[in-house]
Amino acid sequence: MSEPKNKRQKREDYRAALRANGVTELPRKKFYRQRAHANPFSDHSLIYPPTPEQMDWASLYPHYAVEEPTEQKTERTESEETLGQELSAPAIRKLTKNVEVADIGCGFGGLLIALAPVLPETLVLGLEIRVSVTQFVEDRIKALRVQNEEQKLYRNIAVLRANTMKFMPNFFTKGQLNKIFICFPDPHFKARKHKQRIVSTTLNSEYAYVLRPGGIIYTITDVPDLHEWMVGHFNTHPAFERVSEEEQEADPLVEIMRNETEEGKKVTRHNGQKHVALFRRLEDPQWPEEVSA
Amino acid sequence: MALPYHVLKVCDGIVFAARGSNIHSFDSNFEPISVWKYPVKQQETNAEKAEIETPAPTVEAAEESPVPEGPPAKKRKVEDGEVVAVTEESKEETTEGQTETKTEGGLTQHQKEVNRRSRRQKQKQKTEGGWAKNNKAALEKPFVQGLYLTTDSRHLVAITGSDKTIWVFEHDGAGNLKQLSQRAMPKRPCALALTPDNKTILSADKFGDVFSLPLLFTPSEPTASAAAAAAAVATTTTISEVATPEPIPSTPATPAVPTPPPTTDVAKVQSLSVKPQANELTVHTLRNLKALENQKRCLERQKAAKLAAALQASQFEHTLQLGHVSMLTSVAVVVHPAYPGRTYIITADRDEHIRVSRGIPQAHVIEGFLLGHDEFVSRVCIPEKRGDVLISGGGDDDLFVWDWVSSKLLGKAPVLAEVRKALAPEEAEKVTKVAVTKIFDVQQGEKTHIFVICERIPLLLIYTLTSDNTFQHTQTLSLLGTPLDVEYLKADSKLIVSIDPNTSSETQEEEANNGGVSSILALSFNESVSSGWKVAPTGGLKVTEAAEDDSTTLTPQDLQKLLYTTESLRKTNKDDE
Ligand SMILES: C[S@@+](CC[C@H](N)C(=O)[O-])C[C@H]1O[C@@H](n2cnc3c(N)ncnc32)[C@H](O)[C@@H]1O
Repeated sequence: MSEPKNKRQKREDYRAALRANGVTELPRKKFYRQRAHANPFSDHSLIYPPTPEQMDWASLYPHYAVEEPTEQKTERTESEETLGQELSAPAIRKLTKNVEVADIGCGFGGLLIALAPVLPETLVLGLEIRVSVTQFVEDRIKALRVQNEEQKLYRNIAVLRANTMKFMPNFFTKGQLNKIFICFPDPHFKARKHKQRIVSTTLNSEYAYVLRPGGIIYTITDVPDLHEWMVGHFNTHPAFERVSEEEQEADPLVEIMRNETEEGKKVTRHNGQKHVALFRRLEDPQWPEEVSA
Repeated sequence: MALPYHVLKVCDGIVFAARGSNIHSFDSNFEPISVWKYPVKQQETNAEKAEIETPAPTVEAAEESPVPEGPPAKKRKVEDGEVVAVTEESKEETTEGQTETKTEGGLTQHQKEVNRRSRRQKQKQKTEGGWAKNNKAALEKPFVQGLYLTTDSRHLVAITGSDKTIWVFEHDGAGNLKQLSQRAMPKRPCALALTPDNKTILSADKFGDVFSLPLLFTPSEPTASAAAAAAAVATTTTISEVATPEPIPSTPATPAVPTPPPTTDVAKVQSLSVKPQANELTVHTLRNLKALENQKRCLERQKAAKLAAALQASQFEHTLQLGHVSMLTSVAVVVHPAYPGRTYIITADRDEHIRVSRGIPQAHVIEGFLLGHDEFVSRVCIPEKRGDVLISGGGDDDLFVWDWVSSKLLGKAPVLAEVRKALAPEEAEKVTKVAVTKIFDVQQGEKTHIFVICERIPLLLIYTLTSDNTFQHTQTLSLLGTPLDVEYLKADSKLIVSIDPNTSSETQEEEANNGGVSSILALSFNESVSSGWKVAPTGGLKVTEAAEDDSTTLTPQDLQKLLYTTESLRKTNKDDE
C-alpha cells in the first residue's frame, strides 16, 4: 500500500519474466522482499488441503510421483469455487515416498538447499507464511533443479506457503515426520506477543502429533530468552526430552543448521551467539487405565 | 422487541431457559418456577477485572447491549437471598471502569485475530466502539451464552458473554438455583464441557485454549500476599485513572503465567515460562511496596476490598490443558464404548478442525483429527447412546458423520439441500449457505434421532442414525419462527424448541387467541402415527409484548447481533501479505 507502484510493478515483472523463461537463472532476493512479519492469527488467503490425503504432493516433487494417478481429487467441484480452483487438477498423483523432514518458517530456504544433497533419499519440505519469500524459494529450487539436471539434484526439496501454527495437520498425518527444524524463529519479545511464538505448550502437542516417536526437533536461535523459552517448553512437555549435547554435536545436521540458513549467516556476520537445542519425541504414555490395570 | 429464551437446558422435568442475562426455570408444562437474575453488583467487579487482565475488550464490549430492568413476572417467584437483588447503585462506577478499559492500549494480535479482520468487522469495531463508549449501559448485562448440567443434575453451569464469566449454581432438583461461584476467565469462553466425574469444567475459549477448572470452588479469604497484590493492582488502577499512558502489565491469569496450583505436566511449562518475564514480576513487586505505603494514606477500605475481590477472581485454579491457534466453537468430553476406561476431549474450531485429544491428565496427547470440513465447524454431537459416532456441522452444506476414535469419515448428509427443499421456492432461492447452530440427539429404542437447526432458518431438520450407521434425513418440520435452541423432556417425550418471537409468522389474531407469541414450542413424538414429530397442541410458552419483562429496548439489530453469531464465523474477506 505504502510502497510506490512502479517498484511493486518491477518486482512483478521480474518474477513473471523469470517464470516465463523457465526459471533457469537463480532469483534475486531484492525482487522478493516483503514485510518482516505476517500475522499467524489472521485468515490470509492460504491454500491448504482439507486433509493430508488431498494434498497434491506430486506438483512439488514431480520426480517422485508415481506414474498413474491413483484417485479422483475428491468431490469438491462446482460449489467450492476457491478450493475448486486450487485443487482443480483432475487427479492426485501419489508419491513414492512421503515428506519426512520439515523446516518450519524456512525463510529464504538456505537450510533446504544445504540439506538436499546431504539427505538425498529424503523428501524435505520448507514451510513459510510469507508469500513472496515462499515464491523466492520456489524459484530458487526450480532454477537449481534445472542447473543441476544431470546430477538430479534438488529434486527432493520443495517449499510451501503455509501457516504452520494453524494448518500442520492439514499437510501431515500422525507420525509422518522424522525431523522438524525451527531455525531462528521470530522472537516476539513483548510478553503480549508470546502467543505468537512458534513454540508453545499447546503447539508442541501438535509437533508431537506430526512427529513419530524417536523423531527430532532441531531448534536454533541467537536470542537467549527465546532459547530458554524453547528449551523450557519442550523440556516440560511430556512428549519431548532434550537430546544430550554429545549426541547433538555428533549429528552432522546440527552444523549445517548452524551455518546454512540465511538468518544463521547474518548472525555469523554480526558475531552473534547461536544457541542450539534438540529434542526427541518420546512414545506416548500408556493410558491411565492401562497403568492401573 | 420481545426477548427470546435463547438457550435451553432440560434437567429431568425442569426446563432452564436463559433469556438475555437471566436464567428462568419452568416445569414441564411451562409453569414458571424461579428466575436467577444477573447481578449488576457483580458485573462491576468483572468490569474491573477485565480492565486489569485484558486491556481494551472494545470489540467484545460492543457486542453487548443494554437490557432493561423489569420487575419479575407476577407468577415468578424470585428465590430470596440466593438470587442477588438487582440494584442500580453501581452503574455509574461500572461504566467508568469500562470507559477506562477502552482507552487503554491497543488490541493484542490475538484479539485482532479473533475479531476476524474482514473489513466489515473492522468497520463494526469502529462504529460500535464509539457507540458503546457513549452508551453508558453498553456493558451492563452480558447475555447468557450457554447452559450446562452435571450428569447428576445437581449443578448448572452457565457462561455469560462479554464478562467472560463462568457461573456455577447448585440445583435443588426442583428448579431453584443457588449461585455458588462466578469466575471471570482470562479469555472469553465459547463452550464448556464437564468431565464424567462431574468434578471438572473444561472451558474452550475464543483464543483457542482449553482450561480446566474445578466445578466447586470456594473463594478463599484474601491472604497477606493477595492483599499486597491487590494493593499493587490498586496502584495500577490509580495510574490509569490519571491517564498515564504506561501500559498495564498483563496479569497472573494469562496462560503464560502459572495459575495456582499447577496440576498437570502441561502446567509445569506455565510455571517455567515465568522466567523470561521476571522483569515484569519485579515491576509488580516494586509496585507492591509502593502500593502498600500508598494504601495507608489514600485507599479507602472499600476500594481495597473490591480490588482484592477482583484479584481473587483471577487467582482461582485453572489449568491449560490443550489449545488450537483458532477460535474454539465446541468442546466435548467423551468415553468411547469400546474403551470404557478412557476419556477423550474433542474440540472444534473456526479453521475447520475437529481434534481428538486424550482426557486429563494426558490432554497433551493428540490422538487424531477429523478433517474434511471446508468451512468452520460450529457444533459437534456425540449421541449419548452412540458414543462411537460423532456428527459435526457448521458452515458446510453437509453434516459429517465420523467414527471419531479411528478418525474415519462414515458419511455425510445434506443440510442446505434439505433446507431448500423445505422452504417455499422464493425463500429457498435466497438461501445459498447455512450455519448449523445446534445438533442434538434423542434416543428412541434402537434409533437415534438427530435434530439440527440452522441460523435464521425457520425449520427443524430431523435425521436418524441407525445401529448399522446409516444416517439419513427423515423429516423436516416448519416452525413459525427462527429456532434458537432445542432440548428434550424425556418423561413427557416432548421436544422443546425455543423460537425468536420477533421472527414469528403468527398473525395478530392468533397471538390474541393464544395469549401471546410462541416463544418455546413443545413437539411430541406420536408413535402410533407414522407422521413423526408434531407440534403438540397444548405445548409451549407464550410471551407478550405487553408484559414489561418480556420485552427489551435493544434495537432489533443489536438483538440480532447477540442472538445470531454463527454465520459470522465464516471466512469472508481474507486479508493477505
Ligand atoms: C526470522 S525468520 C528465519 C528464517 C529461516 N529459518 C532462517 O533461519 O533463515 C522466521 C521465518 O518464519 C516465518 N514464519 C513465522 N510464523 C510462521 C508461521 N506461522 N508459519 C510459517 N512460517 C512462519 C517468517 O515469515 C520468517 O520467514
